[in-house]
Amino acid sequence: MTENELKFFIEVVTDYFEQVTGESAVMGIPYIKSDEPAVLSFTGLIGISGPRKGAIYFTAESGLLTTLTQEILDLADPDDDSLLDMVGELTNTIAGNVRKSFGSDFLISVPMLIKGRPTDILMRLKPPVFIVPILWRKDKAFLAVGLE
Amino acid sequence: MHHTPADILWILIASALVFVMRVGFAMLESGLVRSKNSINVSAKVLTDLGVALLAFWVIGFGLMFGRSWQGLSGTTDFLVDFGSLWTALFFLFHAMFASTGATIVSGAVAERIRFSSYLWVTLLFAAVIYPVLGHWVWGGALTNTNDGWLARLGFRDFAGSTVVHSTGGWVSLAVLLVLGPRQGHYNQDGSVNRVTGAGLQTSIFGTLLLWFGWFGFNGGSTLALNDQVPAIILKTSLSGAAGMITALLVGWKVRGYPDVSVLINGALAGLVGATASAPWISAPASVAVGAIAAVVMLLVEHLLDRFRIDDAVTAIPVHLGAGIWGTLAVGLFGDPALLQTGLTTPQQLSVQALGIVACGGWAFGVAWLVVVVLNRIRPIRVAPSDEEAGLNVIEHKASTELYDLFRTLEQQSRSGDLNLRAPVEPFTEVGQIASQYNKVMDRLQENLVAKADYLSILNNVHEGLFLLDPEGRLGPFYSAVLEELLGVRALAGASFQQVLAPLVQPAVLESWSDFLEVLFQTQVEEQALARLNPLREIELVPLASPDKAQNRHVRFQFRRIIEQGQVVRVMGIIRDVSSEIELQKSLNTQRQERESEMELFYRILHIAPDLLAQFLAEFDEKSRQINLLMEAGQHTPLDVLKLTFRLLHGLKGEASLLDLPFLVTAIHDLETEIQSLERKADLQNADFLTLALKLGRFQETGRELNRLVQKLRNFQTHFVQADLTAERGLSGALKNLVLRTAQQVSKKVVLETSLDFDKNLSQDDLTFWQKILAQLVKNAVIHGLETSQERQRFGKPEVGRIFVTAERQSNRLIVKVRDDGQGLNLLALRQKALEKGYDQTTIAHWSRSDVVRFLFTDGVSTAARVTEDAGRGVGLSFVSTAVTERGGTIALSFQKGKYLEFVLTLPDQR
Repeated sequence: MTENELKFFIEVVTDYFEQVTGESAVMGIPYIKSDEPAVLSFTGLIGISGPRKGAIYFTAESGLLTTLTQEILDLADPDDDSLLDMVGELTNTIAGNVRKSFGSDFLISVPMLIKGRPTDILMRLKPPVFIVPILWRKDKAFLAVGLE
Repeated sequence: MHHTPADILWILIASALVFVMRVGFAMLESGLVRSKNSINVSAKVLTDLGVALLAFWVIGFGLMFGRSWQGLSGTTDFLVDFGSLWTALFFLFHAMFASTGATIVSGAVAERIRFSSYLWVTLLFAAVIYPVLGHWVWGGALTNTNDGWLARLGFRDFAGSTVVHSTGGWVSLAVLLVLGPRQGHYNQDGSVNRVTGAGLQTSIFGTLLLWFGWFGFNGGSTLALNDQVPAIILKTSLSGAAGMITALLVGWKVRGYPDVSVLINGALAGLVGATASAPWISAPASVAVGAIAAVVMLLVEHLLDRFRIDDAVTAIPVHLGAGIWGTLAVGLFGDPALLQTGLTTPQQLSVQALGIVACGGWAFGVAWLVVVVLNRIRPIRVAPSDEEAGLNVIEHKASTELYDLFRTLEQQSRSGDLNLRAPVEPFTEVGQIASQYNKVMDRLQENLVAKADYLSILNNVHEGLFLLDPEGRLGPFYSAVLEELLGVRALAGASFQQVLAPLVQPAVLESWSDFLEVLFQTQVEEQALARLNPLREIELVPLASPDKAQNRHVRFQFRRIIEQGQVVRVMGIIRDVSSEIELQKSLNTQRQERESEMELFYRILHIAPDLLAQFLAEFDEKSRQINLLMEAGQHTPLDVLKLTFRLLHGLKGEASLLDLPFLVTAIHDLETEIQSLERKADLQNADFLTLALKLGRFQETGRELNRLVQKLRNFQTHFVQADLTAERGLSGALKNLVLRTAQQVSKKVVLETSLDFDKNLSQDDLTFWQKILAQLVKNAVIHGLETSQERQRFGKPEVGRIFVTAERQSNRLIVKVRDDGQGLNLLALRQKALEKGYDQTTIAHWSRSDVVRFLFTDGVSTAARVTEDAGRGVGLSFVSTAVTERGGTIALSFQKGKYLEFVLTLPDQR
């Protein structure tokens, strides 16, 4: 994986926050994760096959997603399904951008939405897995990229 | 009356001359109609001679010249007997007249009348209309008495302006009124589409012959060779000449050019005009008669068109128009002394007019009535399609080469069948046209076939093929794949540069326009061209659709087409090489991976294993610490960098110690990156990306090292194990099987064997026992023995044991397979039996041995799923069958939770 690719994924996410809330998200120091996964309560994962294999996921706690859902959908008290939809929406945005910009090298799967903390999520990512903390307002989320 | 031999000869000659007029008529008419009807018209002229001759002999002659009844009609001399010379001569001359009158009709009604209908009209003309009317004027001529009622009144018609010509005209008019105009002859606005005759030159020859015949027609009407004859012939000719010149001048003035048909008709009108009066008028008068006859002819022609009466050969204006005028001219210009009627000029004129009206009434009236009736019985006109096809073929199946050519062309235009060829009639003009036409068709077809082949290649070739002209425009034909490769449709004539514009970078596009110029310069060599080609290998990126999946890697080649030393066009070949390039990429990656793996391999082979293991543990730990440092976020970014540097630096020393230069280099690279970050004035989180990526790669190298070491270790273990525990024969094979199977199901198993007999086994027996024991031992591992955890829970030793023993007792071989596993699960077996469709009550009554027997049936397995080793349920049934076949028995004993033992007893065959 190249620096540009990683940058691209991060920008898609930070831009998304900027676009839908008007308030940009900030990336934290990226690091490498090899043992237990950095997975929060709600996760959207895009599997990638073809010449480049691996996965990208965005994971967040309900706090961040609740604020985001309230902001976008104007829902006072969104339930878990709405939060999962929210994470799905964000993941779809990433997927769409990946499809547009990388094309045939990346055969991407339909985003998979996960609630809770599955243990096998690291299996889908190809090491080294880069975790990029995404800081938005007071909340934190992670963007994980593990690609050949 | 006395007739000299000269008279007789003259009348014979005159008759022949009148006969020749028929040839003239045939030529005149066939030349004026279209060639598709020319044969039909001529055939009518020929046929009506026969019909008229017979009819005139049977009835016509009697009606005309028989003994008169009230001056209205003859009543004797039917089927006339030619007993006297004079009668025969007289008949001959008048029979020619009768048939000539009939022929006039044939031209007028040409191109549309049914042939049979025409014959009826001819019959009517020659048998009734003409003879009765003729009797009124010429009755008694045979006996030199004036019998006809009109003649007695003083009506004079010397050679038949009324009797022959007008009568023909009147009958034509009657038929035409019923028949109607030819298809397309008149336009909506009343204008006329004049027909181009088959050959006007033929008509001219016909006219000349008619004129010649007229010498006999008028000259013979004296019925004697007397002193009047030359003058009659001359005055007739003067009239004809005057008619022709007048018509020519008037026609030229009116139409603007000397119309040939007007010329012909003018002459004929003049000749017809003089026919009634030739002996009785002066030469100047004959000129006047001819001139006026021509004018009358033109007027009548105009009138007919006005009333849309389509006279195909202008017969009515010539014969009826000029005939009426000629008849009147007798009264106007005739010398009373010569006429000897005793009438004054006005009286004579009145009588002439009366004759005209009477004759017209009779001829037109009778003809019209009969034709209307005929038309009722069967339409006298042919079908429109037949009229279009022409009466030559429709009526007589008489084709002309022109018609055949026309038919072929028509058929070809209708069907589009290019295989059709026109019939070639040798040595004719049409034949030459047809032959040339066929040659053109051959070439056309050749070209089309060649083009079809060429297009089929273009449609099926996998490469994009196209031609460029010096302006850089694409040719009209290109391969179908081209559109697909470029993602652009309808490329014919398009500028290649414009096609490329949305697909390539602007710089490439610029290079292309330079390259295009070079392409058409012959002095640049092909090899140089290939090097200069900016599109040699290029990724086409359709900017309109940013979806990268549309991108293609393509290779362009250009070949110059040189004619007479000039590059006239350039052929472009474009090939999709996306998959080729993808394959190349993946091969490169694989090769690099293999190379780096081998490199690592060589390095670590040199290192003492314990040192390496220690280093790798250290590497893992330090990597973990670095990751944690960055993840935890407890330190400032600068501190993170400092601590990371320290950890890495320690590793670098150790790597250097172990002579792992690639690691030393990698760490050094990381250190440099960290130092450059440390120096950054405004350190951002994003700046850590490069470091993170490099760390990722570095740690991946460590992982790779670990993997390799593990591989080496496994290899070594297997190598050592294989060497030490290698046991040959049946026991060895079984032990290997147990080892493998146990590993697959994650059980710990030890196999103990006492198989002394296996050394002396035949190959056949060895195979037999291999199969049987393999099955039983595998069953023991998979089904019989528990997992280590289960065994521990039941207070059993962790490792399961299987015993295989063989012993010989007298003439029996007893083989035992025993495991210290869970025994048989009878409940599970009963459940299985239920699933297999056994009756519940039957199962309930099963004894232990019944259940055991069920175990040996096909398809029974208590394994939860099918794997390579168990679950198909055919193993025990196979064992049972094989043993029974050899005359052996199987006994089974077990204790739940303790053991299961198979005892196989077989006759010892040694």
